[in-house]
Amino acid sequence: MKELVGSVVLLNRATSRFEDAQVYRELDQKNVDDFERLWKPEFAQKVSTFTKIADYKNADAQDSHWNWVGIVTRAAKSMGQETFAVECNGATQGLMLIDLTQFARLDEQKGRELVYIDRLATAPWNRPKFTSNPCYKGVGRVLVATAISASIEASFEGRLGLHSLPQSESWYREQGRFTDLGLDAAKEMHYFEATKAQAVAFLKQRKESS
Amino acid sequence: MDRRQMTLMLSDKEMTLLDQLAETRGMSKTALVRQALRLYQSVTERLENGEKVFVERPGSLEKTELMVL
Repeated sequence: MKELVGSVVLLNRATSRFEDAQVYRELDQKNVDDFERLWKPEFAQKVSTFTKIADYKNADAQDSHWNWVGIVTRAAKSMGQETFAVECNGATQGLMLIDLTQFARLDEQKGRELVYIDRLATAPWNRPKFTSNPCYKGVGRVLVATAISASIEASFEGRLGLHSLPQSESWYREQGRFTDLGLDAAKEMHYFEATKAQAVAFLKQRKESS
Repeated sequence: MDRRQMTLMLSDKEMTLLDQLAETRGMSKTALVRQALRLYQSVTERLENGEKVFVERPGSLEKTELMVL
């Protein structure tokens, strides 16, 4: 059942004002409907203008094929997976799927439990490379902080792991300050990990910036 | 998240193991039991989907297929 786990603020770039937003655990029909009615048409319209593969990365649209309806259906049956949504101004602004059955690879925490961010996406209208007038700033940061909180709640001390789409690598490296373990050949994506200390630093940095 | 309570009866040996694992993994006993359930479900689903789960011995190529009945 959908559960409110916290209230946050998001910066509306158009008005330069902060707006109240809610973070929910376990997506419901509203989130699925928002994805189908609001997200997908924007992705479809943008993708129809692409002429080469590089356009997906340049427009921050490498996740445009993700099927959140299927993701939500599968996660609802699994104890090891949880979904989260950020809602603001009546619409779903971000979605995330985490996996709690993965283990750390970084030497100093190898074999320890962690929260693995399987999927994380902000609504297309919030992406500066996707649209010339991006709306809310900070959705991704809120979702990463939520994943860290879920890690702490599960007794994993904030440990986090994720594979990054090429379009997001610099964010995890520079904004997240997570450790880049390099290209994972199995997934053809860079694998990042956060230790307890890095997770705490991320939360602290977020608190100071909000 | 909705929570439901149950009483778990464990033998001394089982409780000792639970205490040891919780300490080793740095988790509460409740968190450890929850994690055990997640992993058990994950392995069971993989096997039901036709996947195989192996345990590999370090330093050798010997692998043991994990069977969950």
